[in-house]
Amino acid sequence: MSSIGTGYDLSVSTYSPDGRLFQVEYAAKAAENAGLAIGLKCSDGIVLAVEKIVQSKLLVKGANRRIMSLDNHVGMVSSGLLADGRHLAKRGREEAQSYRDQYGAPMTLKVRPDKPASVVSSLMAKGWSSPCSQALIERVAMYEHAYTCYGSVRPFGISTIMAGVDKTGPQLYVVEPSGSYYGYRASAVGKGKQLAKTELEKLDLSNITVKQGVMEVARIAHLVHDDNKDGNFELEMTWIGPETKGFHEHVPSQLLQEAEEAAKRALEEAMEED
Amino acid sequence: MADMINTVNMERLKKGEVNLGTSIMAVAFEGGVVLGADSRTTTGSYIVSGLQTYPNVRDQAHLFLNLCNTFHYHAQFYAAQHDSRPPVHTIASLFQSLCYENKDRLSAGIIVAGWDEEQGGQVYNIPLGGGIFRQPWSIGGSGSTYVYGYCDATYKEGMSEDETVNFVRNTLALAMARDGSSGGCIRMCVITKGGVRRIFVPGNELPKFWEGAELIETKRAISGKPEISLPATAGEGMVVQ
Amino acid sequence: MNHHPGAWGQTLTPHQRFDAYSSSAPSRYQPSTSGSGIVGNGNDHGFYDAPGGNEAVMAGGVVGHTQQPLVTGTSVLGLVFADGVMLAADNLASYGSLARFRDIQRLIPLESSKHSSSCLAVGGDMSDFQYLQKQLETMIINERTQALGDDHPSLGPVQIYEYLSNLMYARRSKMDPLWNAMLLGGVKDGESFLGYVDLLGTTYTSPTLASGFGSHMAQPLLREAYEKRQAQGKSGEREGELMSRDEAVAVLEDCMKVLYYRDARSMNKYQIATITAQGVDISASKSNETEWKFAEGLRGYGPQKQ
Repeated sequence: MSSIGTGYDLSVSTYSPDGRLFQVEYAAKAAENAGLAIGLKCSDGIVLAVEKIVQSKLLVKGANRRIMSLDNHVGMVSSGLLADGRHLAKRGREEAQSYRDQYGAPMTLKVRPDKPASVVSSLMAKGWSSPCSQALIERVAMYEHAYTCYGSVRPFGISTIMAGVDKTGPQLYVVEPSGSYYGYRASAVGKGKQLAKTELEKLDLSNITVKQGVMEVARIAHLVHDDNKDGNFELEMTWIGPETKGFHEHVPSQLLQEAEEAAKRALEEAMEED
Repeated sequence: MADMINTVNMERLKKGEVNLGTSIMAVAFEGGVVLGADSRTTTGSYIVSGLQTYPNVRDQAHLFLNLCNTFHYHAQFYAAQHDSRPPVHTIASLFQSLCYENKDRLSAGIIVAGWDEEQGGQVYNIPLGGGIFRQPWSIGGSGSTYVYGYCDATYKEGMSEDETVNFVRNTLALAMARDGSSGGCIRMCVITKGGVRRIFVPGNELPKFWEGAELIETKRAISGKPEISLPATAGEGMVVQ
Repeated sequence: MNHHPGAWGQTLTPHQRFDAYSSSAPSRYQPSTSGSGIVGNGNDHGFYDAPGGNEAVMAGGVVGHTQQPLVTGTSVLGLVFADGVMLAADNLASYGSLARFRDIQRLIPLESSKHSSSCLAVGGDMSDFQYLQKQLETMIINERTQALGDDHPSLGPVQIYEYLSNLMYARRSKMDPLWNAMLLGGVKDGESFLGYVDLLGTTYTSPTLASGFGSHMAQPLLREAYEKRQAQGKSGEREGELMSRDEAVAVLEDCMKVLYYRDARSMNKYQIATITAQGVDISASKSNETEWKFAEGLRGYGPQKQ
């Protein structure tokens, strides 16, 4: 950060002379340094996972859950400031519910996953001044974006993975503090995301099932985690797939345990080989 | 998609005059739906096709027009926000909420029918009160009560487009023949993936069914008394309701 | 509504104004006649005129409320058995006396998790039922999404019943009731629950319940079967005090048959919901064998030759 201290980083409503919004970049830093979160889009559903560093031995095991639901069919996990994540989830739930009230159908994550860029252009052609599509991801991203436009607020200090299964199939997106969002087949946010992404790239993402996904995500989480630096961690994992009938639910503890044991074994084997 | 509303121009009614009805119908077949209505002018009938509206009857109650405008706004809004036309179910449930929330004021029995990519041909009935019921075929209006039996006896699953058009034509002709509040011509439209096709059946080309026996003249004897005498009391073979 | 020309322009009582067959005008807002208009708002469009009688007016400063039910479902039944609760309802939604919709499911599974499951059986106005269904769905999604986020206590049948009771009572207190009578059945942590709520917000619970016509005709039969089984259980002839699954189904089938014979708004096509710790299972539609031979020998009133 060469420009630190030049005075252009005090407000989100002031650009630096080279056109940057430092507060937004700092917010992204807050997200990068928190526990790793992984999202995986499979052929038959999605898997979300988060690495929870055990802050204190006094905390109840398994408590303080981090992955949240926005609707029956949409889950989200964020890395960064916990309270920011909860606030965003609350907003997402309200959006999803108001859509249900209005149209009597569950909200999709994206309106036309097949035609990504057409929404804005078609709206502009119809004379709409403020194009905002009725898609959950867009609504949530626009909300985050609003917090980068005013001097009186601070941007969200989180990177968020939002995933769900709607009528168009499994969907996965990552929203950044700037309010920009991208669709992925798999992604990771938080500490060690680069290594996690490299591992995710090795998977056969077009054919993987959620069951296999659970095993792979557990393996990657254990691989990326550094016990010596960060201490112990808990792995929290949710999924949507044939087993959950389209609902966003916790991966059954037995399956999660199996996945973690397999992950640890794989790690040990790899260590021995080295 | 399209929808039909049967309602009445309240402002043109005489005080105390009862609602004069109509007959409307929609039937789903594989690949689309057929909608039909008679053309009596005390009623309103409105067909909305895609995002274009065709008012096809002279008078509409202001409330009913409001309803259609509101709907039209919703449909356009949806299209703008979703970059695609709303599915039939969405239109139907929008209508349903409008009808339910204004059940005190609305007097419209509505059939919403259409075709979309997701579920193909669909028919939704939104009767008074504002409930919503999906049906393979649906009839409405005052004339409909006379033809429930005909529909039950005639409808078969898996009818072709032509069979469905005939079914609608015959049902409406029968309803118009028995219901004094229905009549005139039949307007139909067939909605498929390819678009909307309109069919018009003029009043003199309606399908004909049994219309009563030849006139039985009352033969009177020279005395002027009827030849046939009626039993004074309810006797055998008489069914008392 | 009397469609006879002779009746046009006549003052009608609210009862007369109800036209079960008309799909175009709810009776209460049909134009009033000169004799019945009360609140004079100076327009003669009919639409905003006072419908007269005891009904409120939209434009006269009084809020228009209470309707009559239009599309209706008839009685529903409920019964506690050994593994949980069973509910039964037929598939008919009537429009006055017209059997208008004959493939309506009036049993709705509400939630089922490893801890609890519940199901609702609804009679009365079908549009209010659909509204209620949406309200419950909203609440359940809300609770479910929060329950995943943290160790939020999950909903059980007792909580849903409480919500329903409050909703129904609040609406009747606004003089705008949801025109329904319903039964809520559920199981949570091995405990069975069965409760009744209606449009007045009246609530009661019992191991056997029925609404509407069923409360007169089916409830005694359900109670008899239930009590008989309890007595047998106590004397030690059979283990357990509650009916087995098969016995419960048999009693419900019997009750549905009696109701079909005697309730003119019923239909011989119905479903049974079985709510157990394993979840909610709603049967396919089924019919009862009926017996009409006795009718052949019946002779009506009046002179008969045979």
